[in-house]
Amino acid sequence: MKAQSAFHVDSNHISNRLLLHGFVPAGDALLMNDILDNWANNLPGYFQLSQDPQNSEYWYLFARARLYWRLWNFKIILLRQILMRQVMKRHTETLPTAANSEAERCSRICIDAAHLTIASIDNYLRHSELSKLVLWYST
Amino acid sequence: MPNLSLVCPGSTSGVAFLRSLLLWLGNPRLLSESHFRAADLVGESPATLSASSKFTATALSRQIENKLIDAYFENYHVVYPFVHEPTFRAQYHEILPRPVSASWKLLLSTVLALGSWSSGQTQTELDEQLYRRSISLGEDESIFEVANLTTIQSLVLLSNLAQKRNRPNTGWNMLGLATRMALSLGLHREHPSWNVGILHQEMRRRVWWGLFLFDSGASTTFGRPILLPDHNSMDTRHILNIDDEVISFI
Repeated sequence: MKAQSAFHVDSNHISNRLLLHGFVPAGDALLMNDILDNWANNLPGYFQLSQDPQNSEYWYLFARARLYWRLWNFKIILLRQILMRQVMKRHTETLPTAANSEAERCSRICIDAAHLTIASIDNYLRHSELSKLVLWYST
Repeated sequence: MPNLSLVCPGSTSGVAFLRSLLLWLGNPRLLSESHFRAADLVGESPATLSASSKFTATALSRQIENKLIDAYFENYHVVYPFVHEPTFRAQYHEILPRPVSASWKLLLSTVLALGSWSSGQTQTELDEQLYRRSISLGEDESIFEVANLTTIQSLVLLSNLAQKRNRPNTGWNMLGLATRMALSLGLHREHPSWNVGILHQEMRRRVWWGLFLFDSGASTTFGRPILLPDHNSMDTRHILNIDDEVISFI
């Protein structure tokens, strides 16, 4: 809950900016993505995905999983508008876009976030205790 | 003339994104007006509520209440610790004096409703009636005219239950009211000169941050502006990472 509070303090301005303009340029979106990554990198060790879970208590595993679902979902909200534009552009233009452009990087991060969410929820549903609260968040 | 009863999904909401995707694909009708109606704000008039909620006030035995309270603390509280378990249980069993206020009755009713909701896999008639009783108690208390920590706790919990019961706009309105009450009690600030004790301070922080993350999450989900103060205008410390039992004795 402490980590989730910090996440919202760090990300509320991003949400409000997206709302106002509906579209954030790729360069700015990447900077915002860095803010989100910075939050994730500063999580305590027991919440880091690079470390094994410290125990198998339901509330701990659920909190750990939920933090990342929130992170990846927020990345998707931030970057999906750029991904969609890229797809539409590809549909109408015949020339390939530069693979390393900022917009392409945004699209890649967005697709990765979606993939990570699906894989994480699938894994969670297979291995964890499924209370109604868990099911509400994960299905 | 636009239909003013439609809710407005902003650009961070999933609905708005799907709508633009469907427009691009040439199928705008797949998301019709009915998807944007504030359906959950219709049909909850006080008359319909009170008629269906009368039975529960006396019908729940102490044994069932105890089970629902246990379910609340086992399933829900471990994720969102907005109520101090030892204090609440002691008040319930009248080891500590039970507050006579309507706010505490509302809190108890909401705890029972969440206990019922969180303990089963499917929705039951009891879930429905406990939820409706809580809404009805909220109305009885004239929640527009009070501001205390217990009412804010109740509203935060009840808003979450409303959202989970597919009444997201009802929950959203409750969070708005809870935010105003919280600001009027100064929950967004530390008050070092107040001699209120560590437990009370900690509960103020838990309630503030609980409200903060629910309201931020709901605003982003619906694509509506986040009206909460930013870090420049609040200094409430983060909650302590300790068990409820420990804090009772410090």
